[in-house]
Amino acid sequence: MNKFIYLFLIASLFCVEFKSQRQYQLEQQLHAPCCWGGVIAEHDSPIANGIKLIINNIISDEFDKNKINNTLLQVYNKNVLDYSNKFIKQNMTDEEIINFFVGIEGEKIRALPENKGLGWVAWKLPTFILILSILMGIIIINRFRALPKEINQNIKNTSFEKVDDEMKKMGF
Amino acid sequence: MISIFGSSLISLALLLTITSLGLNLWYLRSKDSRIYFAGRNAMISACLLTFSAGGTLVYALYNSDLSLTYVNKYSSIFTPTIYKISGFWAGMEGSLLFWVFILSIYAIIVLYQNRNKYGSLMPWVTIVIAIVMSFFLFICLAFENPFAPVDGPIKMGSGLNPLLQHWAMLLHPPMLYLGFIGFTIPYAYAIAAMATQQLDASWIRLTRRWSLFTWMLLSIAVVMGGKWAYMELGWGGYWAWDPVENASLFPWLTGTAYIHSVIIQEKKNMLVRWNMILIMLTFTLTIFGTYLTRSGIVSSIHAFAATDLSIWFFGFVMFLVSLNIGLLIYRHKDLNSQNQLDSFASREAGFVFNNMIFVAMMLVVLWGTLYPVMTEALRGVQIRLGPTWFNQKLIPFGLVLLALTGIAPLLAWRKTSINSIKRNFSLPIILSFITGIITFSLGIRKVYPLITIILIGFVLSTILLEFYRGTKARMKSSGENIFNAFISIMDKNRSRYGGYIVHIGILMMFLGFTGKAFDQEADVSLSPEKNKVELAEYTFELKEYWQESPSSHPKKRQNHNAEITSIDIYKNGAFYTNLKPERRIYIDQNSQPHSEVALKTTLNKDIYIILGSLDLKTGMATLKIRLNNLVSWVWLGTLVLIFGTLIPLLPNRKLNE
Repeated sequence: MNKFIYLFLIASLFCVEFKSQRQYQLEQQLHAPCCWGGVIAEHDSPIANGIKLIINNIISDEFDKNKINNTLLQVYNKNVLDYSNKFIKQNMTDEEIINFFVGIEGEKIRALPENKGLGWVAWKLPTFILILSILMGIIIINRFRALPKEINQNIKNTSFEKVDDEMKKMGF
Repeated sequence: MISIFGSSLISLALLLTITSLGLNLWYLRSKDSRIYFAGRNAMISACLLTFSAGGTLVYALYNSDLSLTYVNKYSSIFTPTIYKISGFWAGMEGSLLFWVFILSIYAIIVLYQNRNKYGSLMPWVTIVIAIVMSFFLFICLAFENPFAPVDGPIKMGSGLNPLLQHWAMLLHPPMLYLGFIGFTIPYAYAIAAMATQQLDASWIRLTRRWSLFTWMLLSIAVVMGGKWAYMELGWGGYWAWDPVENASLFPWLTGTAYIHSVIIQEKKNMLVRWNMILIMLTFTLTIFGTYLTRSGIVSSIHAFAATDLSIWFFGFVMFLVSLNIGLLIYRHKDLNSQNQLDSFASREAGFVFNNMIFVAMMLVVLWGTLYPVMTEALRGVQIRLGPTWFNQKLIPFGLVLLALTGIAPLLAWRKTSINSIKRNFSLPIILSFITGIITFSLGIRKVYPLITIILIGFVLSTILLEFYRGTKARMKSSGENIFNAFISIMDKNRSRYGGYIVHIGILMMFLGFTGKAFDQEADVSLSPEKNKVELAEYTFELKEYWQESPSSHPKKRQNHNAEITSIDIYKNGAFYTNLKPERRIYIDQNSQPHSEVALKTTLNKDIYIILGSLDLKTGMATLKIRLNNLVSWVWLGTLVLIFGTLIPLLPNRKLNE
């Protein structure tokens, strides 16, 4: 049996409850390393399912480091046990879990930027755009308020009337 | 033979398009009407040739003419007929021809409709269409020719990607292209208006139906893409903020701003420059979106394979940006608005803020989509922003827009008095407050869903109030009964009431979006020994499992083998439904596996099952089971949106008379 189907089987055998909100949110914060085309919550590729299982093991109430290490060995072809022994511990925060996978896969796995450098800009720019758009709205309205009243209320197809005359002259 | 024939059609079409371009430019100097007619006829001929080239490719796909590389890549002798046809837009080469194929249909309609009208605008309209057509025909001919012959021995074809073998994929790409390309027409008129200095609201009236129709098709396309993702990608959602999904959203957002702001220009002759900017932006974003999905600058599971086209599309986008900016600067003085806006508490102000938020949303989506390009440039690694970032950042924008949808119609044109504000806002605010209390008492505590439902209550009450007031006034003035009065007000002001119906559709969609916050998911295993699992109020029981193949089911399983499980579902102990999720192995796609979602859909909940694996020896099946809330409201909201948009698009008897 394919080892990843085995992993999926193991995961599903133990899971007869809905995913916890925490598990789901963590799955939304990591990109699937199979194709980098979406977060692991949206993927059923072997590596995405493997990472889901590791997260499930880490945040499980029945924390078992050996079980996590076994799963890691199944998921990753490279030996990540030294790294795992250094970082994996009980009651890890979400940030620590994300950073653990960043250590293995690199920065590319992050689906949410860190709140520093360009990541800080990513977080703050939308708020800036929102404020700016409201300010722009206020400026535009103020400019219109400053215009003289009703220069032209007669809005008709005046230019097209001219055009039709033009066409008649041209013999259309 | 078909290769030479198809390529010749494209070559001749390109030649005639360039001829038409030249003749129209010459006409602008000479003012000799014979030259204009020649240019127009050249354009019509080019369109007919392009149309024939498209027809030829469909013919080749239908007949599995494997002498063409394109047919080999996106079809096979096993592919079902309907998906052979949809192969037209499945690959890069075909989709580019499909683009110009649709543009040629639009161009013929425009040229025919205005054959005896708008003599000073039409040469410019033709020139713009010819430039766009020439670009795509050139790309088709020089880089992505769908009629390229097979290099080497002819095989039986690679078949169509299983993900594309779904009914929504028969409709989504054509709708998307119809929507994207449709904006070429109002853009062409806008450029013509700029070139001829006819910058009053005439060009907007002339293109109002085009804009609305195009916007409706683009809306359908965006939702249809979501429906396809929901049914085919198997992750249980319908929107993942993927770059390709976002590419369809850019022009939709600015296009939505545009169809709102043109109302102000038509009624008040204001926002002249802004409307020009919006239509220029919308059209340019359709080309930019095409560039994004075909250049490989951002990775996406939906994107076409990266090609050398990137530089050409980038060049074309830059040409359009330069042209737009150049014209805006050149006609700067002519674009000044001619009316005053009295107050912040006016409907005009509501529209201005609505526009600002739509454009701001587009900028945020654009920033989020291009963020990987920034990180690659600055840090050497592409870091994509996930759906959590987009949701966190865009939900506040959506809520502000939702609030404006309710506020703007309650404001009067020019200025709203304090008394009027009190009178108009009291009831909707009370009703939204009651909605909030009911929602809270039902146990909904999440902030965004709660605010959304309160705002839905507010907006819905404002819309219903508008219908009520209009009908009541009509009954009083004409003595009609309630039904006739309601029809009369709709008929007399189609844009306004059609718009309100569109807003009801949007509210339904927002209700559907809130359901996402309460979705549940579980991975389970079922086998003959342990055949039941309980999740919430449901029990899932494995009844049977089996395999079907092309030999056992030649009609249903033309190009794949399928492993199927039959799952009985009980709700609170009573039989509820049976679902049959299946896993397919496509024989013409290198045995690529694909899971087909089984779905039981109701108004409040979807039961969504995906078969992960099935061991036919032991009967062990692994399943992903999701309970998705309120998804149906998204699809139903879209139908209401279409209905609402069709109302102002219906032929106007009075105008015809």
